[in-house]
Amino acid sequence: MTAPLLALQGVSKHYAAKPSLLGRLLPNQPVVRAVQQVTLDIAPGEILGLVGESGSGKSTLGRVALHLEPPTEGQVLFQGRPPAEDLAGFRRRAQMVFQDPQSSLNRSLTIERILDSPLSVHRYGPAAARRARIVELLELVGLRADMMRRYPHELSGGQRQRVGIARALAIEPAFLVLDEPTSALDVSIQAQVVNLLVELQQRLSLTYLFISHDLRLVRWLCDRIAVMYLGRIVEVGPAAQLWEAPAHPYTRALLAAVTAETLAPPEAAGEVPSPIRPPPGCAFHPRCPAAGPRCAAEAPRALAQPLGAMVACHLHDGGVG
Amino acid sequence: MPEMLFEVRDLVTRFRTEAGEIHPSRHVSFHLAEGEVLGLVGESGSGKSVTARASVRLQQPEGATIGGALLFRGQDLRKLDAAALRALRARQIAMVVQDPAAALNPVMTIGRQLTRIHRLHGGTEAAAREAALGLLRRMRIAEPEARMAAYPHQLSGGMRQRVLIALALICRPALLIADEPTTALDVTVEAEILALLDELRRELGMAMLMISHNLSVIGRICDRVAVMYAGRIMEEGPTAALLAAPAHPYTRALLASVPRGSKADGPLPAIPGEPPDLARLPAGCPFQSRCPGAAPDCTQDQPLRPIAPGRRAACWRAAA
Repeated sequence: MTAPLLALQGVSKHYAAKPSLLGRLLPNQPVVRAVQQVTLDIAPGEILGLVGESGSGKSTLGRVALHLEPPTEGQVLFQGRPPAEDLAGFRRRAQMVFQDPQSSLNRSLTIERILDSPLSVHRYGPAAARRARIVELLELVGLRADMMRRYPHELSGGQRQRVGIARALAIEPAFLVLDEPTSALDVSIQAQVVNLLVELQQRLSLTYLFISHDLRLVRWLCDRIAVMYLGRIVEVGPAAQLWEAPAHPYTRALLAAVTAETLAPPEAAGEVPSPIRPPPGCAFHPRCPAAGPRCAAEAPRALAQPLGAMVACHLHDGGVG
Repeated sequence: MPEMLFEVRDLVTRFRTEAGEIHPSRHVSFHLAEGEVLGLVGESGSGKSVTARASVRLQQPEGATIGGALLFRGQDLRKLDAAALRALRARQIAMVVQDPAAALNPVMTIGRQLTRIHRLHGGTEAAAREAALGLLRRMRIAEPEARMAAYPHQLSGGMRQRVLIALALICRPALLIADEPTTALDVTVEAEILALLDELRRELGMAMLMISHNLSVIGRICDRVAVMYAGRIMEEGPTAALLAAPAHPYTRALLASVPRGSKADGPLPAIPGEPPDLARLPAGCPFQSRCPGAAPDCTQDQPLRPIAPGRRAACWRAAA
């Protein structure tokens, strides 16, 4: 087993919930447990998919992985070292692609200025070298060089996301966190961008953490998939295995909802509870068709499985009774 | 043969934008029988939402609709005066939108919003409350009495969408326009709301015009589907047959671009290029610049023509 490029070790991220006026006067302010004790390795050259619904904490985990937010507990290691040891070096090696290029690209700058910004910040070289790099980057993501004179609003959604990808790649990183990079795009344009991501990953030997709510897309693109629910990873597995034989009831419910061809009632009843007051025991138990008394009382352990898989469910650990 | 409920003929809408004049609906025709579910599917900018709203005169400004007949049980909505239209829409036609947070009144309790509508239709307070509670129960909303006292912001997105559907159904409309009703919801919640919507629709014998970009949602709930692209219906037919064997090159390309399998099977069949600029449409088929089978005669208008029983397509070469 090769050493992981990025390792998350027992990472948690808690926020103070926006307190009410009365709440501010009282002790024990409510806490949002956005990420709870996540341990996850990403191998060099791997595409790891992180799947979850709203409130699962997947975006927060992506930000913690990039050290955009320090973890409340646990640690992040990049090539075995904490990012804070050499933050400038880490920022050169690890970059982010955002969901909505409409809001993540500065609308008052030309594409050239947008792409020049990371090059200037990381002292890529003199103006001529930076300009040559910008032309190279545009070509890399399938845009014509004359696009550099345009403004973001003059581009289509797909073109803007290509610029977002070019910006992330400007300083030749090894690792990208992609947070729902295609969910603002139509499916026909999504296919173009996803094909580009595969091509870039192979050509530049990149490693991706690909965050998405779309299990079908993640299954297509990723080598391994981690499923998140209310701040915790409930299952990890090779993409094909997780798709064919999901081990966690939540993964099964998600898969059933994604592949449904009829109006069958869903396997998971009700809605995702608030991460301020997650249910005790297994956070999924109130919606779980297989839950037993133990699920409400005891949080399941993360059980290592063959092939780098993991499942956190009492069904696989002595039963739910 | 069920009776015709709603027939839209040759609907044309027009907007003036900075880029020039655009026509989000270009001679769009469709029909719904009583109790039938028609899906209007398309990508952004295809004109599906404008078409649906304009078909019941909900599109603002109203002057955007410049042509067509909107026949609801034989009566042309375009010929009704404001009062008659309001009366008809209040009782017969309801709408559910994508974002319930924007559609619900933020400063009025759920209970007030539900009973108010009932009261407007001349019920007593007690009867209105009973009806509202009944509907909340039917929408599988837990603790309906407590929810009646809640404000929209105190409910989750899925809860709000249930309330919005309850509001739409309170007068037992004959036609529901549902514009991306589950797009903002998580997939596990979406499945439940779709199942509920379908159950209630059958119970009320209500017809539904479902607007969605999501082919899987359309496939699950619609009897028939019309595929829109650049303001035109490109293809129309029974859902199962159309999804199993799409006849129009655009429909084929759209279905193929949905991820299936894994990247090991090769690149996703993406549609090259971008949808056309509505202000600068080419003559003839709007899909010609992206179509793998484009030929010189594609620059001529291709009307929807029958290609099989119940199926129409706007392509010279389409065959079912």
